Amino acid sequence: MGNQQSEVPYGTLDLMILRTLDAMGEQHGYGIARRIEQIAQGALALNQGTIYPALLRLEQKGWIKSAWGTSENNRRARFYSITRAGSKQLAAETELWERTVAMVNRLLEDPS
Amino acid sequence: MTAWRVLLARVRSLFVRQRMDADLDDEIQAHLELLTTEYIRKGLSPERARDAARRDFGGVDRTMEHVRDQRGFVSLDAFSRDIRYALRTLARTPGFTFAAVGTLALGIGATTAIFSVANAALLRPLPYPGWSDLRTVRTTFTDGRVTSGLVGPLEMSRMKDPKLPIVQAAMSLRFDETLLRDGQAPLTIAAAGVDEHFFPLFGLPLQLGAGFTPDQFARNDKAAPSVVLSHHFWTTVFGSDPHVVGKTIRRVDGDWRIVGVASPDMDVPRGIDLWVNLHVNPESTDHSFDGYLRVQPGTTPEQLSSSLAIVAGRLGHDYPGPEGNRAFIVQPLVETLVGDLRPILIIVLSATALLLVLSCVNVTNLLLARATRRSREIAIRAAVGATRRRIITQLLVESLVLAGAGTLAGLGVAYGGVRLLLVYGASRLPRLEAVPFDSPVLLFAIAMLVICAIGVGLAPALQLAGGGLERFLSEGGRSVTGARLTNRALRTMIVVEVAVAVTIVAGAGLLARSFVNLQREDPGFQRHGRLTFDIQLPSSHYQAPDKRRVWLDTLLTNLQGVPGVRTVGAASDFPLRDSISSRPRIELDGWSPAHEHVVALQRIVTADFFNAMGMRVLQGRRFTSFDREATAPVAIVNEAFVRKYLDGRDPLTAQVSYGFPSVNPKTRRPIVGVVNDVKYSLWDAADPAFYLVQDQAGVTQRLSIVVTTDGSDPNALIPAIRAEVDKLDPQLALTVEPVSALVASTLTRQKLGTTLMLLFAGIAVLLATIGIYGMIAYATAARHTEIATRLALGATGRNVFWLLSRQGLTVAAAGAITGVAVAYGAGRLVASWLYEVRASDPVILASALVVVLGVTMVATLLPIRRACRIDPSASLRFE
Repeated sequence: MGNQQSEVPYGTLDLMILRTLDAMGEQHGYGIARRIEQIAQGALALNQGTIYPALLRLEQKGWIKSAWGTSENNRRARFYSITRAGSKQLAAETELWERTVAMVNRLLEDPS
Repeated sequence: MTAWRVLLARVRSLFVRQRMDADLDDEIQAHLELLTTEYIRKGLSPERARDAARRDFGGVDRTMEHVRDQRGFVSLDAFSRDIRYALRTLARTPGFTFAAVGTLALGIGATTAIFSVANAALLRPLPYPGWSDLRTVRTTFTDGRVTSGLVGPLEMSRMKDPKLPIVQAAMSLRFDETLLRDGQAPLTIAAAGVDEHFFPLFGLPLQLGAGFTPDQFARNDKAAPSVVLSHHFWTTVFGSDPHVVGKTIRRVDGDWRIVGVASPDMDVPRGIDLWVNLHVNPESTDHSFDGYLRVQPGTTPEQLSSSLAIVAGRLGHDYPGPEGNRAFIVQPLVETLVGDLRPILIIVLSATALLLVLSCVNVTNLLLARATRRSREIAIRAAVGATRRRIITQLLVESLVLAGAGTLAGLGVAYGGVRLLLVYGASRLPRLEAVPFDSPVLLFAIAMLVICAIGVGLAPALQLAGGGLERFLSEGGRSVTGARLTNRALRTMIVVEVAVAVTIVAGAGLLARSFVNLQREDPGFQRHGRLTFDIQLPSSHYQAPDKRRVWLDTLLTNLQGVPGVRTVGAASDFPLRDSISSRPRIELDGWSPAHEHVVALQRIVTADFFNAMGMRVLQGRRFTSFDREATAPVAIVNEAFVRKYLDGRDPLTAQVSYGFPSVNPKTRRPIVGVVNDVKYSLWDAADPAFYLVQDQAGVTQRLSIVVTTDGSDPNALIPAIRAEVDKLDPQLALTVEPVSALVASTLTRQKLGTTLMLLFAGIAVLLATIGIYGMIAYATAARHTEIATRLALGATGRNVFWLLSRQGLTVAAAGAITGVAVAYGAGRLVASWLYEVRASDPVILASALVVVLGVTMVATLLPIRRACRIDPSASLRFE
């Protein structure tokens, strides 16, 4: 991976996880990590392990829920899905994110 | 909402930790396998695929640790580690640990002991259902007249008006009674006549029997009086006889039928043995009852007093004579029971709180000294990555462990202390028969623990973890470290120690002075070499006044004949007995101001009473055996009477007449003498009183007899006196006690409070001395190099000694001034509870200063002198 990789910006991992679950439905931890890496196309240095504390955090907040199931290789695995509160939170955070990005962009593009 | 859910999730995780760990492990293993499979598919060998998977995943252990942190409470795991670490550290320095735990145990123990006493007396609920709605009601005159405060049936029946916020109103009448027993001495008991609302008002079910029925209170009820026994009386006198209901109690004046046994918790009026049904006329204005109210829940004191003011106003309008110008005073029942115990408890509790401050300061000081020695350890921990917060937490945990051990030991101290207090006499005070260690006490102890832990640990922790950790290392842990910071902390602590010690010592001084004043207070009679006892003549046998007089004359003559007896006197009531004296209206020379109610206490005495009491006749003459029924009636008044009513005129030219509710002109008689004031309560000034002689005024049914010995031990005469009374009437019960014991027993509370305060003052001085000695020793040790350098550069030991001493003593003086100011302020607050002592009493404040500054000087100068005797060259080379 010769691409320039950056750290996961602080606070955005939660957003990414919520978005992934929203888009793809029920997923286990590995699936979520893979999906985020694919989307990032190598631009992100993600230690896959770091999503587990984030998953727990989101579950504690009630934004995602989990259930035990069986993985592709027939192992016991935990599957996560987004809750209604999570969808609402995702909408709110998406909007916030867009506003922030737009604001930062304007700031960076400002010729003066 | 979300935060709440997170907290719940975290708390839940504490209980299923192992299963969650297993689940997490499963989850991560599954993840790794999937990742490995992926790499194998990409063509890696299984081993390299596994390595790659692990690399992508990041540290498995670290992930698990992060998840665990997120899951539960980070601190909890770390906390138990910290506790183990603290225990190990403390175990390594047993001397330090022992000193710190012991000091804290003393402070926490004393505070908890006193708190548990205060809790038992003031905070513990009364055993009656809805106890907080119970009130006592008294009356007072709004025009300055004095009254016993007792209420009358008319007043209580007006309080049953449904428009008032009062659920129930009841009354009781306390009296002594003599019970006859087969083959045993008669027994004096405390009885209370009660109306039909009394038992329902308190709401406790009876232990045995049906109790009173409403018809027993009807005025036309002719049946023998019924009684309900107190649980205590039932067990001690009737041996808990389960068939006691229906039996009779024998009295000289007819039998009583037992209809029930009260609940063990029923104790109103306090210490009563049994309750008798009373037939009261609801229209009576006889003010001789204790009144009780049960108010509607949630009634405010203002609501109650304003509605009672309306009742008083209407009563005054309808019955202007007996009920005019009266007002009602209500008080929560618990306050009536505890009485003047509250101020003493508050004073003593404040003193123990200060004591706790002292112990905390001393332990802080120990910790600070230790912290300096540990600075290297802390620096290393900081260097290897411990955060500042972790270090502070660790140090706080250490002080928490100390405070915890101190609290445990302190609970032991408190338990022992309370038992000691009870043995010492507190058990004779209301509500202190037992002092329970209940949940409020334990909560209090826990609060003490937390306060101590933080109070003790915060200063050292902040100092150590405070900026410039590397300094510790670079300075090689030599204790010049933080010298400036420590110095300020030290100065503060010395100021606190001295100030607190001065405050407690001055407080103890105030209380002791007040107690001594009360004890020395001249009651107006001699207390030594005298015995007194009360006699209640049964009305059936001694109905005729002549019969009573003959009986009393015989008794007094017989007692006079007992070897060792010098004088015998009798009076209608004896000082300090809490007896209710009659207080009729009086007129002087047949006249009294129209709008003023002039009253005076009336006392009926035998001719020899003044002699027997050791009272002085200041003017005119005393009563003699010539003042008989047939001779002209005379009166003798006390000094207060002369001051208040005869100011400026010769008392011996005045005539007094008396009567109630209006003055009877036939009672007019000349005043023939003035005697000194006798205090009927040590706290209060004597009231105006006039004395009549028994031969002219009649012998009362209840008599106090006083016997003066010829100098021999009064106690030795008690059997002979009993024998004489027995000879005349074996059915009379009596308790004979020395007058000095009677006076002393009225001061039980004051004595207890004073003893405790003196004890605390001693402990405070000791703690302050130890603390200041330790701090100065530590501070001078920190300036070792400085001292050595000064000496090496030519300063004499004396120069350095004075330099350091001046600094030390300046700080002590600042503390002393603060202490005097605090003591003065505190004294002002409690002044009304002290007897003839002012908060600014210069002797007490000066003595407190001298005592505390004296020991402070010794504690300051000793370590400084030792520090100045070093050999500078040796000591500098060593450094």
